[in-house]
Amino acid sequence: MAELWSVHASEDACDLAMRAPEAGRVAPDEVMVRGPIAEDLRRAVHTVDPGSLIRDAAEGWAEVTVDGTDARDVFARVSALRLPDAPGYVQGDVARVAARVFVGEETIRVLVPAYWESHLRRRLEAETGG
Amino acid sequence: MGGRLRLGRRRVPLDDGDTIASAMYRAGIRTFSRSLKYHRRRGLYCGTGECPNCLVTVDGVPGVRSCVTPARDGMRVRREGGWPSVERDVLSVLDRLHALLPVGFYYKTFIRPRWMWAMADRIIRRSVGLGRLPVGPVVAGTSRHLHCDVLVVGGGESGRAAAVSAAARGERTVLCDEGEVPDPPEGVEVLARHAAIGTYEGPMVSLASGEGLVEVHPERVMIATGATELHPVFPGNDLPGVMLGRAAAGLVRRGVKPGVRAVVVVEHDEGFEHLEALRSAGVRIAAVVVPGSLGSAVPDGLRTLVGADVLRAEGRERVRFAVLRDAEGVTRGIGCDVFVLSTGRSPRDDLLRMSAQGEPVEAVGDAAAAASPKEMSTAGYVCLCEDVSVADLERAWDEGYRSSELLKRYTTATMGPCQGAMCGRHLAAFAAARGAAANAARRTTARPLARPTPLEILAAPVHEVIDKRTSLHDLHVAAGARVGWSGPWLRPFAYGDDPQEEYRAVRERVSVMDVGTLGKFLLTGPDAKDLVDDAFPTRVDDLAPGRARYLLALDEAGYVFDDGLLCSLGAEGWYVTSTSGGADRMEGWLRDRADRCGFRAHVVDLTAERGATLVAGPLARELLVGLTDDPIDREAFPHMGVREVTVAGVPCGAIRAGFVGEVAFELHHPRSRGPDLWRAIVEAGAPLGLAPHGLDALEVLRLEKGHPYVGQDTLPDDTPAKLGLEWAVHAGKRFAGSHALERLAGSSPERRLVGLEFDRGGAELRGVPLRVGARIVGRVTSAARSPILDRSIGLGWIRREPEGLFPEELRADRVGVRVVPTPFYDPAGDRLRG
Repeated sequence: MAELWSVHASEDACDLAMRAPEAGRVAPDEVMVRGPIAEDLRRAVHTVDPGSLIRDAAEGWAEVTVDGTDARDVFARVSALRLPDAPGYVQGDVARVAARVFVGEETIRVLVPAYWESHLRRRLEAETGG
Repeated sequence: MGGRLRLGRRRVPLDDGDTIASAMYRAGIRTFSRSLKYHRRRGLYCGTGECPNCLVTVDGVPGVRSCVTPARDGMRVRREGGWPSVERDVLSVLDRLHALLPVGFYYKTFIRPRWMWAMADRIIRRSVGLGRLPVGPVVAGTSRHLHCDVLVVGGGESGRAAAVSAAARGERTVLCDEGEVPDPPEGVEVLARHAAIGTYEGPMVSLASGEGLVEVHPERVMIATGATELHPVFPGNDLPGVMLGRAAAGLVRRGVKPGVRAVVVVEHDEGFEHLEALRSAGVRIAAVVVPGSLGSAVPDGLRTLVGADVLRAEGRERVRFAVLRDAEGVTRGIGCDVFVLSTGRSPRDDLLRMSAQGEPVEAVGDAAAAASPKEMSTAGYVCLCEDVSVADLERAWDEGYRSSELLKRYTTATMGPCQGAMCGRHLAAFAAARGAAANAARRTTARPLARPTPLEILAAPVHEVIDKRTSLHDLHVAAGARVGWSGPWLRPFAYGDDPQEEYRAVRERVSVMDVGTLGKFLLTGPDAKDLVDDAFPTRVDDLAPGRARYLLALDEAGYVFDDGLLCSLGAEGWYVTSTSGGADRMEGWLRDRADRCGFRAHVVDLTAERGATLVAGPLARELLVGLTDDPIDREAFPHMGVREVTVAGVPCGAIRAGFVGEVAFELHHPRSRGPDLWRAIVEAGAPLGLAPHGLDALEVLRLEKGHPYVGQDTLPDDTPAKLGLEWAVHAGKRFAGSHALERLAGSSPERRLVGLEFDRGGAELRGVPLRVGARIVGRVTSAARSPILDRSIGLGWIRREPEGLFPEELRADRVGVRVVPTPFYDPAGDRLRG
């Protein structure tokens, strides 16, 4: 999986963190960033909120990628979430567990807490026929 | 098309475009089913899939609407409701026993003597029904979600127009219909053979198809489901041969002559189309009954009765006469073998009525039109599904059920397969005609399902079994562990056939256990200490960095909802563990306290990120010494100490604590490194006699120490005092729940958790009531046979006796029980301090 960072900070600082290329707003005071966070962006977040916390969160999350021309159809079989047309981020129920979803040009990356990885893979494999 | 379907021993030939019903009708079948309660003959009636009359079992699947289901070669069709057959039904005798089966009969008859109901219930259940559910494995349907701008339900004229118009505006439009949609409109996604079965908040509309369920999430919904034909109520209205105009016209369309001689009632424009269809099929029209306003519209040459009233239909097995009273008041019986009723339309608006106010759901076309059913006759069947007549409604009304909703519940009218499509308006009109207030004479609440739907389709979206697994799961399985559910987790209960071997490894040598399921939280930020201080009753101000303390979690009412450990990490913040099953609530509690009190603190859930492995037993230290260069001796790493140590190359946050009463190290590590660490420990421990232990052994080990399981040994209103855990509450501070505890401080608990010693027995005693004499005074919450103590021990709660004391001698079934202090094992704690 790519780098995954979790930013816990004030709302203003989280607004800044959203400037990272692949960022999802988890909560007013939390941002998840897929991929690296530039050093100047880290500094900016800390400047706005000296009590902020930027953590490597990769250990806690499992990422399953759905791609191909029917990726959205496959995803629709396991989730009611409305995916953005352009690359973006949504979070909510996927295969009945809490998930964070990064939508790319041709891929849908579903992240779930690592203890649900086997469940998510099983469900998606069932929908794609393995 | 050709081909045949099988109907019992008969082979029914099929023509192009046949439905099952049209093929059966062509073959001379007039009785399609028997009614639910009185076993009356029922024939083809609505022809549009609304009423229950033509429901049949097809290839073992009951409840198939034969009038709208295309016929296929080789289909096996069975009519339902009669015994031994629908044509010769012995149970039709029930139609003469209405007095025994009045409305609400289950409150009135067969209830004295009491044994009679059990017998009657069995007989009644066997004599009613619409077929038998198929047995054998169920193939679960699929489910999917669909997002669009506009969903149009109904592929008729209005629906198509609405869909085309929406698509032209650039809106992503989906059109669904329960039947076929010929010539799909361009730019519209069409879902043919998808029946809308319910509208929900969102809006969300569920569509059922042969393959499964589609949950559509549109921005707005347009209901274009058209209208049903009005269902007139008069004596004999359920006789085979009495049918609605659309049913007759539908038969003609499929090349089937509905009868030889027809009486036709026409009260709206569509009725003339039905009349014309009958004439074109060569049916002799015995009479046309029309209101005065339509008298001139009847084609020349037909006998027309203007302004006549329908009194009844007569016949034994099928209609023979339509009895009418003409405008002059003369009663006439007109011979016929089909009595066609085209008396008006009623919007099919159940999907609209299911949607909440303010939802963007609207009806178009006939579904939006008004309806005004004719005044009901004094007799006849209102609800064909449930065999409810006007007389039944009157009786219910007289018994005090004086609103449409109450009538529905008492008589079960509208509760059958048609869900009120035929009779719903009649029920409301009946109440209104008897002077019920407006809100008592409304249509009854519309609820899903709008169409009969197989359970496997409804279950399609909910077949997932969701399990949480630690990173060691595969290792446990490979080791032959018996894995089972423990809350939401799959965990090993035992690794072999001898659970005592796992137990002995802990007590005598060394063992390892996967405790990665524990809740784990990092609390950081400037106010993290204030958050910890507020959220828990544990003393925090003197907890030095590198130390841990038992933590009790109380809610605002002072009730215990979880327990765990609180670890001080110094500048890095605080580390909190919770029980495996309590992690979600603990996270919610911490976030809630932080938000409510405005603490600047971050609550980071590490439950998924960190695994945890417990190494416990008298040789635990000896084992780990060989795997780490960090000091872990008693002085450097004492009981309840917290250290960063590297074990077998894996960085761990280690806590010198455990649940089992021996020297123990809880190693919290990156989840992905769990398997490496586990293998290294198992390998290094082999010469020391290491054996991993599961939940079965843990149950005995923790019980020997008298540790309660929150949830198993506690009740939702347990305070620390009831559990004997007052020592875990720091009296000199304020925390959530402290006010509640102060209020309770003056009174002693009426119930408390105590240690128990049994004369004999083990785990089977769990849940057994505790008695003093015949009185139940408590319950065993945990029990086990302790190998090391050679005694049966347990925990349980007991109530204070009327004299004010807690009992000390009790019985659990026939087993003598004594209340004893805990811990049972190593009460001074020398072993765990190591």
